[in-house]
Amino acid sequence: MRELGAEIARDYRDREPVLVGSLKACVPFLADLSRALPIHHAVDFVELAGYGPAATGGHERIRFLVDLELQVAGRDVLLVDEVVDTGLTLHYLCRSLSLRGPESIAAAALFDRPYRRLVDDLPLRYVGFTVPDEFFAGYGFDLDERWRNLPDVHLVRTVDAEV
Amino acid sequence: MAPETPTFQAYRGEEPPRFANEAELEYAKILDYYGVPWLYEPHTFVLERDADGRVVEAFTPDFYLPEQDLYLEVTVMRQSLVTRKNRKLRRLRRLYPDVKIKLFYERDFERIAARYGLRKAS
Repeated sequence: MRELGAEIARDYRDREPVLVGSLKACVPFLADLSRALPIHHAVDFVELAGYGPAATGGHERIRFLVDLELQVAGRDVLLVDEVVDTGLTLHYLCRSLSLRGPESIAAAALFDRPYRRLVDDLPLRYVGFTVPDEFFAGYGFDLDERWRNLPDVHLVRTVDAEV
Repeated sequence: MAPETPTFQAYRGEEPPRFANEAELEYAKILDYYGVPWLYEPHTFVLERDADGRVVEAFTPDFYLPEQDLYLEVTVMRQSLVTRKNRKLRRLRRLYPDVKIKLFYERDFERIAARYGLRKAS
């Protein structure tokens, strides 16, 4: 976290970026990153409706459930997410927020799964770790909204139980 | 039976897409949900011609994302057929080095299905 904070601080020297967290899993990461960032910065959040089995072409589309309170026109936006895999959420966020006239948009993620990308043109500039294709819980990662509160990241193993 | 064909918003083709399997349909729905413009099987790449110039082998990737100039190939085949498809893909990359293409295997779809709560492709 210190390394990420130092790298971001170096790149944004003499600027005051807005850290935009994508709820909900990002909360612990964003909090730690913010504390590791020794430059002035603002913090704000968005939440997007995730894709689910009810979504069918032509009827549903990704949308903001929670939008920014801050105006980002002319500001440097740093999107903060816990993990980037397909890149579709980050792609949508970049496209949407770029319409608001920011000075720049970049992204930071704790975990990256680049081998699962469906879209490539992402400004993912800061990555904590490239991780294997596994499920995680804790440090913001949930299983049905549980376990986010665990202080560490845990690997989730599925066990087939006999009935 | 051919999968359903919903009305798509980010589809940039003219004719309604006719998907070969449920996995292709689900990938199309996901791309559409996130507003990523896509086309279905818009281009066929010739891999081999015979002495008379007739096409004897070709490859048609499932999706094309025009904004990213990227092709996606989705496969839910058994391993022996995947091996054959991998060979075609290597050939395509050799003959068309500027074409960007990604191959998604059944396990990739299983991961995406698990993440989004979708049914697994049959």
